[in-house]
Amino acid sequence: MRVLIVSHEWEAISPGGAQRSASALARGLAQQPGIEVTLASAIRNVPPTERAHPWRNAHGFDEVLVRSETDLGFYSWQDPTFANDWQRVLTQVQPDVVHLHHYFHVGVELPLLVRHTLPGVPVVMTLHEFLAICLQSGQMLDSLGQLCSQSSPAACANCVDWPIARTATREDYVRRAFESVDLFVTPSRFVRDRYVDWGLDIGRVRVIANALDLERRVTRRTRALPANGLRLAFIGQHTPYKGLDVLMDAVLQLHESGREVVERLEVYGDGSDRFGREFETRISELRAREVGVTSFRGRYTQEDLPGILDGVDAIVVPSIWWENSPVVIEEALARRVPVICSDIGGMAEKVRDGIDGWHFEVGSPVSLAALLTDLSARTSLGLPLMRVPLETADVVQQHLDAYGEAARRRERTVDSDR
Amino acid sequence: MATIRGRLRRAFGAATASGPEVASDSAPAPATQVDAAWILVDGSLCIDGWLADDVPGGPVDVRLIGSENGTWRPLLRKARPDVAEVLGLRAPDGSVAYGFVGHVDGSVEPGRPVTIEFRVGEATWEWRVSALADGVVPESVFSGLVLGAKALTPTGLAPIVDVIRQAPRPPAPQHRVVYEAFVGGPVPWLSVVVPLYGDFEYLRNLLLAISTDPVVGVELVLVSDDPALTPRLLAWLESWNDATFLLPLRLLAHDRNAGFAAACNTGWSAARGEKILLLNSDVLTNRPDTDLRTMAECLDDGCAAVAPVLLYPDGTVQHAGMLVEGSVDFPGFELPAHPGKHELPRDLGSAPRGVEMLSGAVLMTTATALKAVGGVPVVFGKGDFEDVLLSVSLREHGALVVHPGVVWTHVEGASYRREDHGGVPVTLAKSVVIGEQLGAAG
Repeated sequence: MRVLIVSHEWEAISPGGAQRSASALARGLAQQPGIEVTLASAIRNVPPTERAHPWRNAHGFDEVLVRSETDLGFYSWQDPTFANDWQRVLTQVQPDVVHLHHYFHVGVELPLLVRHTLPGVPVVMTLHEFLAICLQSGQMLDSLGQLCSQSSPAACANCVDWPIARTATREDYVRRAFESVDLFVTPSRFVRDRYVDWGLDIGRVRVIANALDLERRVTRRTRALPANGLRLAFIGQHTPYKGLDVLMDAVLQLHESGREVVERLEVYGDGSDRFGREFETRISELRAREVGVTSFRGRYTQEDLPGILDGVDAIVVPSIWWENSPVVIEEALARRVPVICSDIGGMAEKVRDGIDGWHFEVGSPVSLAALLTDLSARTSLGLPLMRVPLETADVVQQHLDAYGEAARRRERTVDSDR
Repeated sequence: MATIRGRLRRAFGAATASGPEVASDSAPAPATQVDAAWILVDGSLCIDGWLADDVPGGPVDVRLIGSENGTWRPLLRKARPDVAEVLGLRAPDGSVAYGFVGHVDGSVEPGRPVTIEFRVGEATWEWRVSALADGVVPESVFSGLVLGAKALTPTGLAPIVDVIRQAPRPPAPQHRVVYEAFVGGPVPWLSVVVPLYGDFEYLRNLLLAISTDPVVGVELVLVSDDPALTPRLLAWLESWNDATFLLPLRLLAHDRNAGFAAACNTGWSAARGEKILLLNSDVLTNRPDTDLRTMAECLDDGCAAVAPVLLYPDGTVQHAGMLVEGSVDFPGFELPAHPGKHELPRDLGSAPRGVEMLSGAVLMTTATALKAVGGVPVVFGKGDFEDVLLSVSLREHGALVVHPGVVWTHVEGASYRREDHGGVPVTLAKSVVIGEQLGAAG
C-alpha cells in the first residue's frame, strides 16, 4: 500500500504539533511491512528545480515539498496553479490513500483534486484546528476574548467585522470542499464534537490520538514534595491564549501572601510579535513584581524535554482557549509527570481531574492559586492510574483501520456515482 | 461613521462643480454643493446637490431658474430634518439643507461646463457643472434620499417617468465565446445561465458546489456583461476550471454592459439544454444534484417555471414567491413584495406551491418557454422589474411554483445593484411605467 501523507508545513522549518504528528505517523507507517510512504509538505516557496522531486530521508521514506499557500478564511489556494504542483505529486506517487493533516496552507480544494485525478483513492483528513469554524484564528474566542461555543455566519460576521455575505460564503465554501473527504480524524473527542456541532456527520469522523514519538519513562518513583513548595514548568508559546499570565499571576499572588507554595516556576518557549504590546506589557509587569520564583529559560529542543520534565513535580497548561489535543500534555504523561490544566476543551479531556492531573477554573489565577496551595500540602503528587499515551505502533494501526474504512466509503461513492 | 452622503459620494464619484458665483447681486453665496452630475442616455444632464436653508436674503424661496443648454426641470424639496440628519445634510452653519435633482434637457458634452442658475429671494447665483462622461446612470440614489421617501410621489417623479418612457431601447449587445471547456459531450438536459457583472467573487462557490456534487448532463453558460471584467474572469476560469473544477462551461462576453436581462438572453440563447436555470452568481446552492432534479420534475409536470426558497445568510426568508402590491414605504406606487421576507422559514410545506411571481435571482424554466415569451424582457435598458414582466409572461404558459424542498441562500453581494441603475427615484418611476404596461396588457 502506498500512503501519501500531506503536512500543512514542513516540520524542518516549522516544527508545530500537527507537523510533528504527520511526520511521526509517516515514520510509523514506513516501519510497517508492505507500506510505502511519501510525506508531502506544503511550503510557500519552492524553487522550480525542487518541485515534485522526492528524496529518501533517513527514516526510510520519501519526502517531497509542494508549492502551496492559502488565504485565511476560505483556505483556498492563493494561486490556482498550485493545483498543477499537487497533481504532479499525485500522479508520481500514485497513492492508495491520501491523508491530509490540516487544510490551512494545503488548500481545501486538494480533496476535490484527488477525486478528479485519482477517482478511486480515498481521502482522509486530520482536523488539527478549528480554523474552518472560527475566523478568530480558530481559537473560538469572541472579539472580547470570551469562550465561544457556536458559530454562524451572522455571529461570525459580528465577531470579526466581516460582511455576513462573506462569512456565509466562506462557510459554504469550506463545508463543500470537505464533502470530498471520505473520512475525518480528530485527535480528541472535543475536536470531533465541535466539528459535529458545526455540521460534520459524526459517522464520518474517527477519534485517533496524534502519532507522536514520545520519550517515555515507564515508572517514576513517587517523590516527596519539598517543604518549600512545588517545582512547576510552563512549556509553550508565550501568547495570550496559552494563559502564561494566569499562571504568573497565581504564583505571584501566592508569593505575595507569604505562603511557600511554589518553590520555582520554569518558563520555556518564547513569544510572538503578533500578539502585540499589551500582552508583553502584562507579562513584563508580572515579571517586575516577581522575586526569584519564576525563571524564563527560553527556547527548548525536543532533546531537552525529558530533562525538563524529569526536573519538575508537575507542568501547568493554563490556556484560556479550548485547545485541541496539546502535545505537551502527551509529552508530560509519557514521562509520568502530572498536568495541572484549565478545566475546558481538549485539556480537560486529555487530563482527567484527579487521575492524570488536576483542573482549575479557566482564566482564574485565584482558582489556580487555591489548587496549588492544596497540592503543596500533600506529601507527593503521585497518580498511580495516570494514563499512558498510546504507542506510535498502536496509533499507526488505528490509522490503517481508518484508511480501510475510508477506502470502503470511497468504493461505495464511486459505485453510486456510476 | 461615514454618512450615507459620504458613502454615496465615494460610490459614484463627484462631478466637478464650481460656484456658486454671484451673478446679479452682491449678497454672499449660500453654502451649496453639487454632488454628482451625469449625462443621461438621451444626452440630457442630471444633477443633484444641496444648498443651505439659512441663506442671506431669506426667507428662503429657492428656485432653480434655467440653463444655457436648455430647459431646467428641477425637483426641489427641503429635506425633512430627520432625513437631513441621517444624510449629514447640514450646512456648515448647522442649517438644514435643500436637496434637489433635476434635468437639463438638450445635448450636453462630457466635461464641458454647464451653467445652472438659481435664485434665493432677490439674489441669483450660478453653478458651473461638468458632467461625468459615463453616460449611463440616469439618476442618483442620493437624489431619492435627499427628497425623502415620503416626498416621492408619482406626480413628483413625473419628469423622471417621462424620461424613462421616452428613453430609446439600446441595441442588443454583441457577444463572443471567450472560454469553452469540457463541452464536447452529449446534449445537456440543463443549462445553468449565470450573468456576471462587476465581480465574480461568489462564482467559485457555485463551481465547487457543482463539482463536488456532480450533476450529470449539466452545462454552465457564464455571460460576462462587463467588458472590464472579462479578462480577469477568463484568466480565473483558465486556471481554476481547467485544473480543479473540470466543469463543462462556456464564457460568453458582451462587447458592452447591457444589463441583467440582456445577459440572461445571451446565455439561454446560446445554451444547449432544454431546461434553463437562470442563476445569480451570489446564490449559494445546497445539494445541486438533488435540488436541480427536484426542480426539473416541476417543469416535467407542466409548470412554466420553478424556484427554490431563498434565504438570507442569517437564515430568514428572502424569497418564497413574489407579488406586486401597493407599497407601504412609497404610497402611490405598486412594487414587488416578498411575503414572509425577513421571517424565519416556517409553514412552507413540502410540496411545490403556486405563486404569482418569481424572483429573477434564480428560476428554472425551459428554452421553449423563454422563446415563446421573447426572452427576459429588457426593461429600459437596464434595471429592475425584469422578473415581474417575465413572470407575467411565463404565467401564460403554466404555473409558477416555489419548491420548499429546495432551499438556497442568496448572499446578494454580486447581483446587479439598484444603485447601478439610478437609485430609488428611478426604480419608483419605472414602477409607474411598468404599471402602465401591465395595465395596457390587461
